[in-house]
Amino acid sequence: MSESISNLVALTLQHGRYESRRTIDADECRQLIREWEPQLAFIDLDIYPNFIDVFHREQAVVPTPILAFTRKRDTALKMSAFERGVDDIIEVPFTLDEIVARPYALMRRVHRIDVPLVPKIRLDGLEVDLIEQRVRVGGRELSLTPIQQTLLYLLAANAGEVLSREELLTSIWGGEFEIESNVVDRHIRELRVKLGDDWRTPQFIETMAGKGYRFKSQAAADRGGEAAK
Amino acid sequence: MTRTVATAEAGLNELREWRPHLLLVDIDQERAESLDFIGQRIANRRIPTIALTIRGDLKTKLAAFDHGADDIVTVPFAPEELLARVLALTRRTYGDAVPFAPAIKVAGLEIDLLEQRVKAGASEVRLTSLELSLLYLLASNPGQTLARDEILDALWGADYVAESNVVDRHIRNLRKKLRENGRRPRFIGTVPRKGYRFLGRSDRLHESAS
Repeated sequence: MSESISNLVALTLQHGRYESRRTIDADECRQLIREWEPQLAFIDLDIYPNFIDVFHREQAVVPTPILAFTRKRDTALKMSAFERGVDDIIEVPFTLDEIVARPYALMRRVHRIDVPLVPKIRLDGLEVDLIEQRVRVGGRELSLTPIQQTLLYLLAANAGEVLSREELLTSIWGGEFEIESNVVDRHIRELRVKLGDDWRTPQFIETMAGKGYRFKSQAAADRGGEAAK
Repeated sequence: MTRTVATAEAGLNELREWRPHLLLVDIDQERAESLDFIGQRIANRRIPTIALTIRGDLKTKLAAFDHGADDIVTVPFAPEELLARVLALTRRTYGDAVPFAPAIKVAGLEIDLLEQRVKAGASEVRLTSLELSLLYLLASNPGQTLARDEILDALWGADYVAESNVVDRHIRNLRKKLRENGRRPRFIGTVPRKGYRFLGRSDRLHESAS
């Protein structure tokens, strides 16, 4: 899966206090299974379907439950994934609660562990409450729609990186739905209004002319500066 | 075979005399009662259960899992999404014992959900999953007028910002694929200023084709 989406998943998983690792290499994956012993696996079914077999060959005493992502609305594909040992499937685009609720159910079912939930996490100057769908900026508290929340997390999970309109569009709305061309800009505008962000001097979301949008973070800004030297 | 009940209480009564392979529970209606219902059937007999919710927020989903739901499907869903989850859950619970009919017959149409194909008379066409969802929505409410807003909510979700004519456009594409006669449609009728209506009888929707 694209790095921006896997960053989004990793950030969202902080609500379950999970630690996560990402790999796109089968050998590295085997090594991680042996040495790091993950309790859950997320596999992009569309790009790395053979990673399911990697997990099966390396199986430990308790098999690692597998959550698969797919962009395809294809029952046959999903059925064969379930037959090959996938435990649950999340369709891309997804809402953030899926990334928390489905692992929660799997951890209960397979490991009999009740994962403690962390409803609030900090994203730079923002405090986000995923359960109440609220975000606190400075002294103000406001509520977000699921799409605004996903958009905010996707940008924040990739702080310092420019995400193009297409990337935001396919990550949040998917490829199949027909939508107006300015839907990304409109949602960014609404999100900025809620965050009290001025597009001329943005504190959180910057417009990169002709490229897309970027979540501004102090740490990332420093890194960017070094890389440019 | 499916049976439908409107309340959790009626559901418990039904389960005294009938043992289904699977339960689909709408947890938005009578929230507390329906969650208790899921919890109770766990205590009594473990019938695999899928919770349906239009809200789909984290709190709702966690509560459903906490009460023992095996899976959750959020409304709007594509028919194949529901089917895939039903099949996965029945397989997990019963092994391969539950047969599965990918094709059903509705009002002279033969629909294969797995292949996303529809046979209307001699012609066979492939539908997109949106067209398939649209057809299922209409065909499962035969004779009833569905407003554009209703169709929009059911297929795209309430949170979705759509172009105003998106429903009409998809209806047009679907009609073209079903080879509908503009003036005398066989399947999808236009109800002026209101919406659309499925004309065929689809009382066999819940049965599998032989």
